[in-house]
Amino acid sequence: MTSEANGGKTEATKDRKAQLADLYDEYYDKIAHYAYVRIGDRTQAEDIASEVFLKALDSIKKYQERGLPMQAWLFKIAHNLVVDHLRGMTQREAISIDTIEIRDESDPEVAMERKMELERVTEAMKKLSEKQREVLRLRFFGGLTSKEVGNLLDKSDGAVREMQRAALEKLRELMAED
Amino acid sequence: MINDFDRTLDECIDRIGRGESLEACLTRYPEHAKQLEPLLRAVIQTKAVYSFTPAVDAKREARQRFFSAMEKQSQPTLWHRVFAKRVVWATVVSVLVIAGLFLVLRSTVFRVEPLSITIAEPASESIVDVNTVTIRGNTRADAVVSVNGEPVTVDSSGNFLLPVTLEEGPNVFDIIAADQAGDEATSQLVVSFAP
Repeated sequence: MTSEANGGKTEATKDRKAQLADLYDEYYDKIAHYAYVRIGDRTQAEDIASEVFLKALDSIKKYQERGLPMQAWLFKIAHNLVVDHLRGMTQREAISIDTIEIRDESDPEVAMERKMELERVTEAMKKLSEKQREVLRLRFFGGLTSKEVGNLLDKSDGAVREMQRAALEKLRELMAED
Repeated sequence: MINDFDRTLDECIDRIGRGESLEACLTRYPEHAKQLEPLLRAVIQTKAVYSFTPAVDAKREARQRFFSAMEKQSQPTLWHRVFAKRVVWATVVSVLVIAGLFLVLRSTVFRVEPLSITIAEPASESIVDVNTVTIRGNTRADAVVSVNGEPVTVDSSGNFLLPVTLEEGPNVFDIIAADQAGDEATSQLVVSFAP
């Protein structure tokens, strides 16, 4: 490989690192939110968000855009970390509404209402297909566009919009039943 | 058209994500308002129950970890600092080329003859009837010659000579030529004196 090619590669890596740093402040919160919705533990969700950026930094040389924007790539890493995390949990520890903390609620009645609401939405979410849930999680909490979700799930943005609408219709019906 | 509606719903979800109100979205798309409203309410409700903001401390610490890892990666390693410089590579290559040339020249142009020793007289195993003979020989001019441990002068042509006194019977002479590199050539001469 020529030194010119090496230099170009180094420059590209530098650019990608700068891009990753630019995404940090905005996407740390979104990734933590996405992880929290999946695992229900605030501290572990924050750890996963932190780990996502460190892993991305370590593998930045392997990242090539090829239609997958960097923010979508970060969620791919987050998804893998969440799956690893859930795999490591025992059945007893697995996410349940009881384990989700309701913070900043000093009024026990309001806290109870919020918990019931959470239970209702979570139960409805459970009745969606995994793909539908992932589309909603990435759209609502990850803040990705339909096109980015499509890139990540290997679907067209039209297909993602269709899944999103179908998932919402089902979710609304299920929530209305309760 | 479902596709149209899907697109409108998608856009409203993005707008709500950016902080726009449900009412503003419905006003923007009056033709879809009736169908949009329940779905957008489901969106808002779902987002509200899973509301989450990472702890400030956790975020700050994670940020510090990330940026120090980044800083660490941007510092070149010792290997890079030394060998990424062209001048260092140029010097290393030059030294190797010069050393190679030197070895080639040494083994061709400046080739050193192997050390040897030739005894011109007397012939070995000879029998003489006088008790003195002169040992004459030749070796490389830079060699040091000894006969039975006694040093002998070597001239610029490599010739040397040493008169010796013989005992009656066989006399053994060990003639050794040595150079500074530690190479040696030896020759043994036996001369018998029979009066």
